[in-house]
Amino acid sequence: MIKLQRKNSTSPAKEDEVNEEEKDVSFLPVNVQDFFLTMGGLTKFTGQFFKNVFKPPFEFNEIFKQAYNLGFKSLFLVGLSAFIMGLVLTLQVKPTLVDFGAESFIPAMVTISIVREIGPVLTALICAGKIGSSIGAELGSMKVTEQIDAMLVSGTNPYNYIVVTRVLATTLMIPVLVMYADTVAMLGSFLGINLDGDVSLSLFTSQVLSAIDFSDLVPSFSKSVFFGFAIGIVGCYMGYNAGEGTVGVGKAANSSVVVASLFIFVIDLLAVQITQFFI
Amino acid sequence: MEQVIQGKSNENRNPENTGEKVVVARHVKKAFDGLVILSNVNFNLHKKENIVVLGKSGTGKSVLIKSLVGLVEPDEGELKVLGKDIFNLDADEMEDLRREVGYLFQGGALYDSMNVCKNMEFPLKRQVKKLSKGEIKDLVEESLESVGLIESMRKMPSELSGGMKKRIALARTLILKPKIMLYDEPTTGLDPVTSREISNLIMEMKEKYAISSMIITHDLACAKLTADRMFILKDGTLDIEGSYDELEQSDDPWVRAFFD
Ligand SMILES: Nc1ncnc2c1ncn2[C@@H]1O[C@H](COP(=O)(O)OP(=O)(O)OP(=O)(O)O)[C@@H](O)[C@H]1O
Ligand SMILES: [Mg+2]
Repeated sequence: MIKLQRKNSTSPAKEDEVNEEEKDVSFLPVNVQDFFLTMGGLTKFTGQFFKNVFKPPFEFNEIFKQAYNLGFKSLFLVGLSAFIMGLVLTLQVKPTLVDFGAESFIPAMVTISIVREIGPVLTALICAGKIGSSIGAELGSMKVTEQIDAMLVSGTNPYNYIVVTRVLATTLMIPVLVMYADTVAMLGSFLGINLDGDVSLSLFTSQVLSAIDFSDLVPSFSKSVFFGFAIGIVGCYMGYNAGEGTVGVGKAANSSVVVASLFIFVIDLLAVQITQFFI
Repeated sequence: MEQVIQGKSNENRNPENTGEKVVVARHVKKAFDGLVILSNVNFNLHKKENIVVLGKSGTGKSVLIKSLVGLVEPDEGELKVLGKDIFNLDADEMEDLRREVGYLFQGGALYDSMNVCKNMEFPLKRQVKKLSKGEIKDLVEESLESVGLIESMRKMPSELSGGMKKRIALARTLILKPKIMLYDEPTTGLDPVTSREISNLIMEMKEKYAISSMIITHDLACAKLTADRMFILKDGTLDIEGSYDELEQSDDPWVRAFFD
């Protein structure tokens, strides 16, 4: 593999070093360089994750703590957004479907769009904003106050404690949050239908359940796993490689959100292609 | 420019210096973005010896000691720590070496998300050698006692003053009983009384556990108390060397500037 190196980059900590051929890429525009450097760095960082994830010590307490901090504490925000989304979606499709006399299709239609697309993507984007930025900022400030170096120097592997735990936490929690968001969005939809109609909860539920099947849930769940992984790994990468000072922390938080959101759309695009290929 | 004492001639001036060398640096160079920070660093650190490095702000003192633990990778030269060549260590070997070397960061680098007690336990719990809960508790208490902050055990770093953070950080490093200690400005920002306590602690650790130390400081009182030999980092070299008294009596204006 060729290691891209900008002229003025400083060499990273020694253990990341693989003997690779260095190529000067300074003839490319800075933005393009940055893009490739970030992608290259992220790829390597992901590789490091898989190398470390099965290596003891396993920090179960920390994983649990992060799952609580990152996942549980997002319940309100995710729930509220999902509820409003379900409600608004219902209110917006209602007039059209009523015109066609297809009012009874509302639950099915809303369910499909929520479960397949809106639930996972909306939740992931909200979490990229909330969780991604907090991981980026936290690790960034650990980096600039030399806490990561302090762990390294005391002979402990900071990657295991800091990165692996957070990435596992987001990978586990985002799918859970997505299922929760789907459910809450359906409640919003139920409210939307009943604002000027009268559909019982049991009828609504049975309509919802008959609308979705296995082939909706599996791709939705799988892509949520990847969303979670992307949010965690991008946030950690940006924080772990933050520049100097408070500016570095700000930038890390910011680029965590931007890059993770971008990844979410790319994964979404890939997921829909793959799903259509199999189903 | 005249140098106080030339390189090798005085290597054995201090009787303790005949001991084994725990750090050997030869022609170490480091540049950032073409800006040369260390141009030609040569020094030895012997077992149970304290060397003090003076130098103006931004001359690369932190870079120098960071290179001893691989946090900064020098560009060229030879650097042996505890007999191991820093340039040719893989990640595991580096991890092993780092367990033998303690590093007090300039800003303390306490883990913000953990209280003082957890900070102290963190490296202990992740050692190869497993310690029992009781042993860990004893070590933590003993260490905190030695820096006089046992009552802050349950506090978070954000609740501590700058000086307290530094002392906790020192305790956290010493708890691992390293063979070499690297102190990055251990007394900066502390009152004279606490400074003296820290200096005494540095000496006590040296006597008790035969620790070799490299101490970076601007605090002459600390230097006077702790230094077996002193260096001044200037123009990326450590060529200006001598005992505290020798440097103090030097008529080199550059050296004088530190003492006046
Ligand atoms: N990772 C880095 N990348 C680029 N430049 C760096 C890096 N680390 C240090 N430098 C530069 O090296 C020089 C020396 O820095 P260093 O922190 O070693 O100074 P110092 O002697 O410890 O100063 P102080 O007494 O203020 O702590 C500074 O000019 C700094 O800008
Ligand atoms: Mg410094």
